[in-house]
Amino acid sequence: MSATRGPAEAVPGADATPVEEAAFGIRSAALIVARPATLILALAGMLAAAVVVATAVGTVRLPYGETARVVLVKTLGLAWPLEPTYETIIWSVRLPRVLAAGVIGFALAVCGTAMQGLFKNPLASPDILGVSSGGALGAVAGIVLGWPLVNPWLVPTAAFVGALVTLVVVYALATRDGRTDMATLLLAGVAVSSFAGAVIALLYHFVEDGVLRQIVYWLMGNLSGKRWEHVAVMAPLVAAGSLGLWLLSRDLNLLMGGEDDARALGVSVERTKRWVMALTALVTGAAVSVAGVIGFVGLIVPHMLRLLIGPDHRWLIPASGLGGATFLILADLLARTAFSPVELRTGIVTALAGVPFFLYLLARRREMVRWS
Amino acid sequence: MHGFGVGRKPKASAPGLCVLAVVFGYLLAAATVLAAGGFPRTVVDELGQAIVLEQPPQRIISAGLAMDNILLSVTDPARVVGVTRFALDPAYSYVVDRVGDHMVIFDQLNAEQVLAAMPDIVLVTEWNDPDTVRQLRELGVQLYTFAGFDSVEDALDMVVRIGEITGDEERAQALVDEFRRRLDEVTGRVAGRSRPRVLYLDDWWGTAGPGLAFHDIIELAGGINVAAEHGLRGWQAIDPEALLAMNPDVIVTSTGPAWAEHLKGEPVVQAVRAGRTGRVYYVDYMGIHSHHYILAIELLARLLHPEAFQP
Repeated sequence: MSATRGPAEAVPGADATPVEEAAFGIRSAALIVARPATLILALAGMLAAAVVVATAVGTVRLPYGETARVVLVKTLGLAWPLEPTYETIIWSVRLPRVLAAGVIGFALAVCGTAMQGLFKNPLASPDILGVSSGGALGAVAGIVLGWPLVNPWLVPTAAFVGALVTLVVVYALATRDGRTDMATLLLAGVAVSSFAGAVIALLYHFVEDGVLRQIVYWLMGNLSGKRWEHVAVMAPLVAAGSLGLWLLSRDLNLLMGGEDDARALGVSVERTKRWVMALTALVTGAAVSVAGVIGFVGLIVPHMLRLLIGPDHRWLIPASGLGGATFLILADLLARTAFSPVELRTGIVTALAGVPFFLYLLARRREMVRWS
Repeated sequence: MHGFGVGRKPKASAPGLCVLAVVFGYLLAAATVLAAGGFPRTVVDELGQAIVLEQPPQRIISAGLAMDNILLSVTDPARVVGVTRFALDPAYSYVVDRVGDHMVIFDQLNAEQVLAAMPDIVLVTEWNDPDTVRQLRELGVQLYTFAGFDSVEDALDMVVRIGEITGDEERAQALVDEFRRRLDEVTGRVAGRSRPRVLYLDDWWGTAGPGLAFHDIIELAGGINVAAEHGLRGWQAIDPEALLAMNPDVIVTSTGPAWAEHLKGEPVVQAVRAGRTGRVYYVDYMGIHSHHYILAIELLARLLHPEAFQP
């Protein structure tokens, strides 16, 4: 969608939504069901509902009244007595996990949106710059070196550093004379990604069983055991990075009409690219360092929302974030409870539940395009 | 207390120290008896962390298959409140009939389930999800971590340790003693016989060198581990062609009888001595880390040295 140019050559009109609609053929391409602001409100409502449901339902069945009581008492800092087991399960185990899932879903979806916009490529995702793989390599190196025993935060830090270093490497490979060629960037990202994957696979052969298990847990993407500290470490980075990306959304809109046109319209193209990439690496790195590699959310959720709300990044970025948070919270809820006590990998659920819905949206869109 | 005494009397005579030690020993023994079977006691887990048990734990959770098997063999199942789902699977568990309805069945270590079961102690391994383990530790759940799982001796050590934790050290020691008695019987019979060269092979074409109990079982049953000869350590997948260079006399698998049959039909297996002589065996009890290894050693010894077990 964003890759097709069609009549967009003309003017990807400054901030006038109608102009952009004309430019990108949004009306015909997207299933705009409501005004963007209404949709954002609806998404926020869905997110709130998802948090409530995911906190109320879990592996261990607790009375809903008790759950509500724990959350109320702890949030408001009341001095009412609580059943200690309930308190621990809800407040120390379940709620932080739900919120961590929300923050991670938000982060990945926002970054996916930004990457798809920047690359004008529907296959782009937060992983496309190799950031996730680089983060994974950093984390695995930390695990192999025995850092988890030294300090539990060393591995996430290593992942974060790995993600940022990967971005710098990929960016340097694709930049000549201050101009970054997007096609080269894409290829460099894929290549560096594969290389990091191969190094990780190579390490499998030289580590002990216990270490191997830890690596596998990490690589499969994991939301269990997430605590308030994880949320507290991630949330500011994700919030700041997402806000930054949102501030760049007008430039992203203009970039979609082509670099030359954007430059003509006064966008500092190379600066925008650098910032979008750096912020994406920051946000993805924060999510990946805490939860490992959780695929699919950053690829599909932006598309879902683009179909619902159109490609204007000013609306699309917050909508994707809210949608991604809701989606990952619900996927994790299903993963925890569908076959309880068997706990599925969240990634299995994101793909199984998300793909059919996405295909349904795609199919409906084609119909509309044909009829219009 | 001991260090204090010695430090204050650097010139104390040797006999004096001996008397002190004996008295101290008696006091300790008396205290042990008085305090209901040795509690409170301090146990040290395999990460070196000290755990104080005020009383024999009455609500114990096992978060690993090896601990499921050993714990339910050593202690009263009524005191076990959680096991892994593998404990219910006869393919992996020798204690299926001791799993009770009161127990929580874990798929993987789940913090909510653990907390809801209100355990006195949870037996975990390095294989459990590190984030969940850390979360439980920070929430004040008593954890005992097992590491290793790398040898037959480690399995016996686990039996002793679990006996220490539950206060069933007599039962644990009896299991270990029986293991050693039966092992002596096997080694006595296979001693001095020519040792066939044995290769372990699973359905990933993985083999096992030193650092895994498979290796110990092969050696204790009177074989030579071909993987060790070729310098392999731990679990390693091998190229089927490498089999030709290894040319084992016997191939053994714990994957299942069907896999043993399949291997017999593999061209590379048929090209080596084990395949030509039909010595490709499935041996049960090899894969689960527990005192049940003795059953595997006995089975394998009979296959490697049938003449040694003639009546």
